[in-house]
Amino acid sequence: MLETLTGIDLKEKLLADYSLQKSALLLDNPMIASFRENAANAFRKQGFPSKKHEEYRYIAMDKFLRKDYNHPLSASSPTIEKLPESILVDSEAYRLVMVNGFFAPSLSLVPEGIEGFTAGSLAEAIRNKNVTALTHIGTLSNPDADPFLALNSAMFADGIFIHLAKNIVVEKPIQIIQLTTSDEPIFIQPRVLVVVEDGAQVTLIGLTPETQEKQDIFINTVTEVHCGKNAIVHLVQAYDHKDVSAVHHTEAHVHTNGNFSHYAIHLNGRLVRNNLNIVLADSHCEAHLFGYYHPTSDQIFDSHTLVDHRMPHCESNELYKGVVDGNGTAIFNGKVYVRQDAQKTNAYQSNKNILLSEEATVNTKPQLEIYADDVKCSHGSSTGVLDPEQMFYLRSRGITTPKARALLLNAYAGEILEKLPSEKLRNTLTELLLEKYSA
Amino acid sequence: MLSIKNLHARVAEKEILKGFNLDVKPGEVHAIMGPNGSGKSTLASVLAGREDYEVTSGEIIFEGKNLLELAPEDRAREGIFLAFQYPVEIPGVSITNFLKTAMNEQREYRGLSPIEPKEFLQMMKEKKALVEIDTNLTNRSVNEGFSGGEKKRNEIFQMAMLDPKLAILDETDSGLDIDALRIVATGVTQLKRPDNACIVITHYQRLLDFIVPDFVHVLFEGKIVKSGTKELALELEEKGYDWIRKEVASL
Repeated sequence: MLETLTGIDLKEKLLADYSLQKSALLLDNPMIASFRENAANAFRKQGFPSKKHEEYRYIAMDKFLRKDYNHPLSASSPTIEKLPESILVDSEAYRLVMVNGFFAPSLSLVPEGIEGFTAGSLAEAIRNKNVTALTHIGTLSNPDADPFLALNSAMFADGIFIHLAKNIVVEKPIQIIQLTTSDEPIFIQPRVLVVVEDGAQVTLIGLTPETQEKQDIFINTVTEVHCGKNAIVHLVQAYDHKDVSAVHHTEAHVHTNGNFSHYAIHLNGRLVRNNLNIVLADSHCEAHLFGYYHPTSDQIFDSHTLVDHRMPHCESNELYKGVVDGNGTAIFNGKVYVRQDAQKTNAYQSNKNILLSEEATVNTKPQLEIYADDVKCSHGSSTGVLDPEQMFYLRSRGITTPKARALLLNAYAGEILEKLPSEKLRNTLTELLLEKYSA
Repeated sequence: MLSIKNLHARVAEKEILKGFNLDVKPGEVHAIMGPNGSGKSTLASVLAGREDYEVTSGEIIFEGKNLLELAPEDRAREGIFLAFQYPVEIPGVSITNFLKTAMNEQREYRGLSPIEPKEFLQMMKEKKALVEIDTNLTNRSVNEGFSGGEKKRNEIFQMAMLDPKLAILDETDSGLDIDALRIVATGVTQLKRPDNACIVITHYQRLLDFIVPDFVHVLFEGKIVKSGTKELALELEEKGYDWIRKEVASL
């Protein structure tokens, strides 16, 4: 097909791997095999998206895919021996570390012997025939909906599995750290499956930090979150790695009285595409979506979010803010569906952008589709520059232009960062941002 | 301290100041009065370095330096302070953080090390008392959601903290009730010293009951048409600006 010509070599290479690497892909399990087969077909049909693909029209994906990527299907011997302390929000809290998409037990700190609380390698959970993992994997996502989702479903080789049984409350945040190390370009596909049963509570902090090696790295991640009745889940996904191109597809289903909060923080990366789909599947659910992005020279940060209100008395609240500098590009596409049964819905969505240079680009598209008649919904977007009156006021007190800019940008980002469920993370990110402002 | 000679300035192609002259010496308080549109706020904006105002001729020398060559932040660091007629709201920046940054930026310019936190807090406490600002206000974002009176008091509070050589009060009395006016004026009066000076720009005489000027100047159509002592302000209050208008027309 003409429109799928982009990255065609990589496509063929990956599909060849799919046919050959049956054991790495856990295909001996018939459930996984049929799920994979379906996904592989969906990817074969769709291919990588070109600019003709409506959902990817602002990204020249080809540029990020035309590299001679290696596609590791097994864990390399770990060349990372120690975690950088600075990225830990709590050195005593549980952490799940992946190296090139594979769970790294030696770097991780996992719960042991706690009834109803499992966290570790997804591949291992599947190999051990963990019933929760097997009955939940892939159930939220339809591979026909997106080519990257299809590709990950067909070919993820490991990732993270977290399971909290009924009423299990994990007090400290669990960190999910994605490290990369390679002396050649790599294309990696981790999968994260989170099952939070009724009444359970957890905070997950995902981070892809900068690493030493300067290589082309493409990370195609899929995260699935099951948020049970009365469950509370916070999920942070932060990217701060200059050489990474990332597509992260997140699919969350929230059930009665459940509360799901998602925080997308994009500080560095060549490309960060955040596909976030949240389904409010029952009544009285809440979803909170916060985003902050700061692309500078050549960086493209793109968030496509969808909140699907299916049942009555639910609330969703979305605020995405960004600052675009240099010739960076920010894209925001936010959809809110309020279906016919979703009466008494409260849905708010807002996207705000500040442009710091003449070459900066923002494409923003808030969309609201309402099929119910008794709802409160609003959406809006704005794009502007730093307020010259505020700048003048600060300068008139002796504050230099760069410092004044940093003060205002810090306040602007603060509205999002103050929502983060970890103070240490907030401080770390604030410092990283201050570096970016003064660059 | 300040010498303004034959100043011409325009905004958006319209000439507002047309040959303005003023000399201010340390220890002096000058009041500049005048009807709406006479150029009072333009003068304040030009002194502080607002970029949409263009100086077409004339000079401003402050402490031996050509003020017009300095960026707004450097004017502040040289010791000029403008109390805004319309203070700007800055959500997300606390007054404490804002003032600490401003103070340390000014100290750096003067070759001083950053202020000790303890000293800063002590100073905040003293200066807050001066303008009767309560502690809750300084923990809030700069001017966000402040009443008119709180905004003006916050301007004088900043003035007290930054301790300028020359303060310019741009219609600080506008929108204030009599109690707020008294607090603001008392604050300003207490900050007066033999080595600093103040330019009070106002439309009405009532502020000058509290801040007693050494000189009163009447600004009319872009230049000073009459100067005198505090009695001139009373005369203006009594007769209105029409009297000046007629006098200028008859010349």
